[in-house]
Amino acid sequence: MTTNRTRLVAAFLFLALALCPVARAQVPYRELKYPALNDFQVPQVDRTVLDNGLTLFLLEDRELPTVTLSAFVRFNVGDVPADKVGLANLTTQVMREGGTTSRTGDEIDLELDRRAAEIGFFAGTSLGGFTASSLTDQWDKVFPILMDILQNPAFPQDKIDLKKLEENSGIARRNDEPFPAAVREYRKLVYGADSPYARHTEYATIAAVTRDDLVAFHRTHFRPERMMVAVFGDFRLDEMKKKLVEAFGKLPRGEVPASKVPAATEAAGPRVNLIARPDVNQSVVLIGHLGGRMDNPDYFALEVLNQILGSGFVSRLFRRLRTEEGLAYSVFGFFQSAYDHEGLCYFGCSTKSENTVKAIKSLFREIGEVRKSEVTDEELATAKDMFLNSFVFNFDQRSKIIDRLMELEYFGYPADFLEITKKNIEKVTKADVRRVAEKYLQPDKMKILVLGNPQAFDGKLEEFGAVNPVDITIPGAPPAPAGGPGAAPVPAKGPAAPQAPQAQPAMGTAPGTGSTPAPASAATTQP
Amino acid sequence: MTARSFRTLFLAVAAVLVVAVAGHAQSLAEFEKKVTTFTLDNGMKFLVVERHEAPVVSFITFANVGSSNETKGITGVAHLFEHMAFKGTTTIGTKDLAAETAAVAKEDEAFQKLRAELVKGDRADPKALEAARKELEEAKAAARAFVVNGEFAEALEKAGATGVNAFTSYDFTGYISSLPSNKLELWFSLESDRFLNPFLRDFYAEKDVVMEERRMGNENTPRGKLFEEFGSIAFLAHPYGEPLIGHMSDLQALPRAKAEAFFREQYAASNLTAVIVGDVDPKHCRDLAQTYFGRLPKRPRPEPVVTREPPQKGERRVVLELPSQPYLVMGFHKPDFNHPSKIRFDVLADILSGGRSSRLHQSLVKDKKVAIRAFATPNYPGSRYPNLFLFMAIPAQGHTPEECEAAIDEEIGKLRTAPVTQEELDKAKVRARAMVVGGLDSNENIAQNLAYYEVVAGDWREMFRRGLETINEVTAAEIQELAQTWLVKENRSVGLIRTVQKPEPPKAK
Repeated sequence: MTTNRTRLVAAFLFLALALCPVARAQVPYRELKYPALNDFQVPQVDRTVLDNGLTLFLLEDRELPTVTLSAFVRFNVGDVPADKVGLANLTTQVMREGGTTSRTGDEIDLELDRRAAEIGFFAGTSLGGFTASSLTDQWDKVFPILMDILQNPAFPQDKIDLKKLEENSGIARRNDEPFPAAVREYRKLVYGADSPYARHTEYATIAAVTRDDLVAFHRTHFRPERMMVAVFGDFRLDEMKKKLVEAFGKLPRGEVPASKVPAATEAAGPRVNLIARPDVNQSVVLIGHLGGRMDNPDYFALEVLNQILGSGFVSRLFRRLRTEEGLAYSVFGFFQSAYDHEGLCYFGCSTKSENTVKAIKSLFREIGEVRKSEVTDEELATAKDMFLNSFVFNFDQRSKIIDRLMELEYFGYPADFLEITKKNIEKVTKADVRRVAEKYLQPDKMKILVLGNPQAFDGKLEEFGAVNPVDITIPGAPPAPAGGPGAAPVPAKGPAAPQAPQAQPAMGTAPGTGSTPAPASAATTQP
Repeated sequence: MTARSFRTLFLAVAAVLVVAVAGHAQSLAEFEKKVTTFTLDNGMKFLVVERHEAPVVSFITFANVGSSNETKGITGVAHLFEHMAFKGTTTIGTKDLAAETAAVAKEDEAFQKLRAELVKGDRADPKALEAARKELEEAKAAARAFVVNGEFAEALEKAGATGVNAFTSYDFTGYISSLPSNKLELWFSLESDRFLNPFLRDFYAEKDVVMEERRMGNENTPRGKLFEEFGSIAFLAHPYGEPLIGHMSDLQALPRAKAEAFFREQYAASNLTAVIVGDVDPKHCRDLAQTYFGRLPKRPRPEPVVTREPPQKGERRVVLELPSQPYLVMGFHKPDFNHPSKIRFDVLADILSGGRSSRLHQSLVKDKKVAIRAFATPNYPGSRYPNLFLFMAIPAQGHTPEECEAAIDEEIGKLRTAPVTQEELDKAKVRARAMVVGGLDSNENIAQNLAYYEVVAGDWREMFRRGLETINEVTAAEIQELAQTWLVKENRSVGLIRTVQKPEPPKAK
């Protein structure tokens, strides 16, 4: 009986397996074999230089019925006088919201909202710019508004006052959140408080900006020979090109040559710095010195070093300080390179007050180790695989292709810089990684900044050197609110929603995005 | 720069044209052609969207579980489990499973000793605490000897994965990644193992990480403090009032076994939905799903949260006096995401704060100049259960949250006494349609949006139906009635930060 039944079951099982359409078996991931990646054509971007010097990039993208324009305007932080910091941002924001000689700002806001269209202006460290986007069939209504703003901004005093109130409100709030406050002070320690790369708005600098300054800033910089415009989306290339050439071709060349990009240098100053905040139970720790530039031949090896040391799940800092030591949710470390000036090198984390000294030591331990010994074969191979295998994601959206091309040309880099990076990363050796770690990471020269409650630390910061107290009191009484406000750095789109804390990512905020030290230009410096 | 966000807005605009050219039904019909759905015998659901623009694919696994499935004592466990899902499995991340299992059991024992002391609170014996902590540290180190640190994420990223991450909300938990499309099977292999054979290694160190996350987000920013207090007054009974990340004491006292139990109960295959978007063949995906995820056992779907929030009987208010700048938040109870009124609340929120021509921005920011930001959002802090219609304002320099509150009250008064204009309704409808198409601009966004609607609304098509169809039926009278019914004082909670110049006293250790 039993035997028969077993046989019967076995027969059924055999039959079931034979008939089952799932002939596959599970494969442990280490044994998987992959087919070749499907071929695909990277689309060609059309590039034209107009007679007035404006460079135009065009790419058709018919998937969605939209048109998207983004543009760079050549200016840099050095174009804003030290006593008028905030001028570039005020100019771009009042251009967007202040209306033109023929329509008010409120009329433009309504017109754009009604069409679900967007126009934005922005000012960054190494460039400024503007954006516009709409449905294909709205584009002919939206584009003339953009051109009107570019050519005929009204700069009405009431909108200037409104944006000044917003700027002043941002100043009043700038110490409320520990991390951004620490980063701001860290930049000043590394670059020097007077460096154009570190200085920031104050009530006095906002008050010093006049309407004439905005008018002059616009007149000087919003000129065609300083502009690059990239448009992609749902259009016929020849038709769109004709319209753009006609509109932008009318802009008269400027009279003032673009200024030289200011140098970024390391400031002398105290090594150990403390922002005392008795009201926090977690310290922000930042350690480092000046970073580098992307035109350095060692850039590629440094990017591999960054990957191995301090970038993401697969990095020493994450694995050791976070996973093993449980010291921090957010831990990071980069030697950051920028296109046209020296970026920042920064290592850091947020850790409970009682782990402050321990965390500083752990960061220095990792910096020391990567200088002292070569990384492993496995670490090097993983870092390269990550870069090379994800390479296709540089091309998976047309916006990435055209935006990158414009960015590289703006900063004077070859159009195939990404391919050059790929070739060079393939060549990086363990010896290279160690060499650049030794050369570029200089622990003895690194500044240490802690924002925290020293009463609760697990030791004395003095063990790293004499402690310099950093006073972050906001200078000057805030102006009376009667006149009105100005804006905290506003994104180039509509008013941003204050975010309620909600979903929690496993990774936390990646350095270089959001509130962590941002890349020195609008461009990302990661490969 | 906000390249990503303005791109989303650009594409958002596309909806209008789709509607104008193709008609609502047809745009859903067009999209539907790209979508294949199937459900395995164990109840796990799959949506596959073909998008062949580039040889890449994005994934999301949506677990129908969030922090609202927690009870007191284990708050924070949903989010903590999400972190643990990156620690590997019984086959990934270990050097020696048997030895590691034994070492982890010792860790648990050591923690139980610590916990026995911890739960005494103020009356805990400091010496016993210290000894127990030391023992736990030693046990952690011993267990760590068997760990292959980070193998799970490395396996993905070495293969070229981008955007490897996860998030937890009150309603659900999502696990995301993108891969070159020739690595499709890698995701099936790893992701199925993640939910078939989870191994919660380095659990006690990860609790420390989450406690740091809590300090960073909830304890050391004014906004974090405010929202935690605000949640606690807005909900009397429902777990939407608990902090998503958990209470510190719960995190401290949580043993590994409770996280495992939470996983066993909540991560049934029938509670999982995966969405795959990109350069893939749906038939191939189906075979792989059967092969890999077919291994998950069939288990009953856990029951939803049974606690109902009772009707509010009077206004509640919390005032934080802090040395930081002021802030205002105000929430009105309202029905859940699947209530017929849902779409009307969306329209209301857009009329109030969608764009620079919206009512709140016009009044508080441009005219009265009492705020630099003013905002309304319709489903706080979650969607699945009755939630809050939320107002927020960041007062302008020199202005108070009370001024912002008065200005918002004035706008609410207008909504109650007069119908909104046709122009406002039209604008909201155009923008809603734009949102739908804006959500289709990348593999990642398509995956997340479809998963959200499939899980929370029960059908991914609801994204199209609500944004393109149902919204057209909304009338001015309905909006007015909404304001009269729900936006009333006794139904609201208000939280504000008032600036005081003296610093807080240092916290006790």
